[in-house]
Amino acid sequence: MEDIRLKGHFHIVYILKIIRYGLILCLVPMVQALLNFDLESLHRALRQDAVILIAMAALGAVLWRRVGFALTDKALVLDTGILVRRRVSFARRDIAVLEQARPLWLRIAGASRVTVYMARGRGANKATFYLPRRQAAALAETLLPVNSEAVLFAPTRAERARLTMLSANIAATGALVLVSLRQTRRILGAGLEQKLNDLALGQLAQVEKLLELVLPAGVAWLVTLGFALWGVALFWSLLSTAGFRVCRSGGVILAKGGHVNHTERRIAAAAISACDVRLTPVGRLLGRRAVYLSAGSYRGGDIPVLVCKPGAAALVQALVPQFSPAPYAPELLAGRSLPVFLWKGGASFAFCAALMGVSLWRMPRFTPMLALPLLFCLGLLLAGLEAWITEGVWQAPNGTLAMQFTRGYTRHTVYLLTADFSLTCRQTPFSEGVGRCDLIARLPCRAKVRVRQVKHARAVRLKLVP
Amino acid sequence: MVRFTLNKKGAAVVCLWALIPGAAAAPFIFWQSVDAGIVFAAFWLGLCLGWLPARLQSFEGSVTLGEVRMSSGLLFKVSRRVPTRWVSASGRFSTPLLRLCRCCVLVLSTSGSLLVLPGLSDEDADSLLSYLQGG
Repeated sequence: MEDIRLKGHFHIVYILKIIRYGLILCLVPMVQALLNFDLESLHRALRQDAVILIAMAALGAVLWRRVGFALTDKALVLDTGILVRRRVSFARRDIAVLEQARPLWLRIAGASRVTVYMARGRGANKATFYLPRRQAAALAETLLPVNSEAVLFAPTRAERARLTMLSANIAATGALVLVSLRQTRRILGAGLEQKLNDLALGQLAQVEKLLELVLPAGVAWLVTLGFALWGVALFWSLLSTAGFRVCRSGGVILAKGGHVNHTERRIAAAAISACDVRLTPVGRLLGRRAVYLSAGSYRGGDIPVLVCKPGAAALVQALVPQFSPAPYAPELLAGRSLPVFLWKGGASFAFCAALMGVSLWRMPRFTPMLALPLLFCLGLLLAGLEAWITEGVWQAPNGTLAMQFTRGYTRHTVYLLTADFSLTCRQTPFSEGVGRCDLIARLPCRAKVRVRQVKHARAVRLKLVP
Repeated sequence: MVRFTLNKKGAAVVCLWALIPGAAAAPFIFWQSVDAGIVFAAFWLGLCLGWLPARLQSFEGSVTLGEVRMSSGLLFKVSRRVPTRWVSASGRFSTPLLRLCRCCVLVLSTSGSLLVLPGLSDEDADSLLSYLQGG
């Protein structure tokens, strides 16, 4: 029998997973009764809720006694499952990343959400569970210990502002706003949601009126919406990057921060599989690049581990010792297909230009509003042109493979720091004719890195095994 | 170096499997319109008896210098290189028909992707697995 180093039950919030549907069942009649100011039905709803809650809590407590974790010398063992019991064992040497997330509701309950990402294996390769805060910290300290916190990156003032701006993601925020609107409608009903919407839109309408003094009506509304979403994204990013710092102690990289929602990630430096250096449009304006690390099944998270100037390889090297970038070797442009890079941007630009042409002819009032999407598509077209010039693959003498590609407006340079990846070359009859192919690298985190139109002879010569 | 290709008989069994979804869908399409049914049947038969066998026959694989190399494709060519040390598990499946042809379906799992080799002969599968297991 192996020695058990640490053992315990999951935090009681784990049973919320079991009783969440019961909680929604409780909330809906109560909110409806409250909205209608009907005391009689509120009493009835409360009595029903009490019965449901007691029954669910009793069931949850019985089931909770059966779930837990144990840490032995060699493995982390999780007992999960409700009706069908499941015991999962993770080898300790294969643990690549341990993430402790403490959103506000978990902080109130004194719990942490722990996610363990594995370096190799099959399937999802990760496990998420809830532990009491101290136990989660003890587990993290035992699995990936941090002895001395030598801070490598702790942004303050202007650097902090840059990190905030680079971490803000308008697309993700827009999607989150949409989802939360739908959830609000589902939980509160259409009536109250309408009132809340009116309140929010009323505020935005004030801003729009102000903008209408300098911009046409439609454009003002689009600009207001864009700025509102960006504001929300910036605010969210400001909260999650508060007190953010990155340290390295021995073979473990520690990144932690967050004001309302605390997050702490411990990454085993030896398990790092790729280092993604991103150049976003905001990054171009600020002259900074964001560095994301992926290790095992961990894909990089939402906040970059570093924000650095172009060419600051020493800082990344201080964090990831095996990082040794090869000098950029540009791809030869002769025979490289331009339509492959420009078709997305070009098609959307042509569509917007056609719409604008029609509006100029039939509805001149809408023309200024269509100018914004046209500009957006022009940017996409220019990014495609840049991709035609800069996209490529090159390899350092020690075997580190670098792949540079553009997706949308963002230019990624991915340095593969592991030998655990596969390479696929795809050729169409056209690209075969000019001796080119699309090169796809598959990483352990199941991410695909695709570089278009590289020389086939060069792709075949790339060393896979160092 | 170990070379392997997909067995002809194994490929024929795989083509038979590919006929099944078409055979299941055909009655519904014939029910809608006989013309559409005939077009669909011709398309599906062409796919399973013309294109798929040729695609499977174009497959070539080898294990050399610590990596598995595979290439296939008629017009749209795909070649793939996977390091042998990245292969974390292998699965071998066979049906009565495949066993009759001395073939199997070999599935190699890695932590990033899945490789499926349908209709591989038993001998090739044995030599490939023994190479991957360090023998």
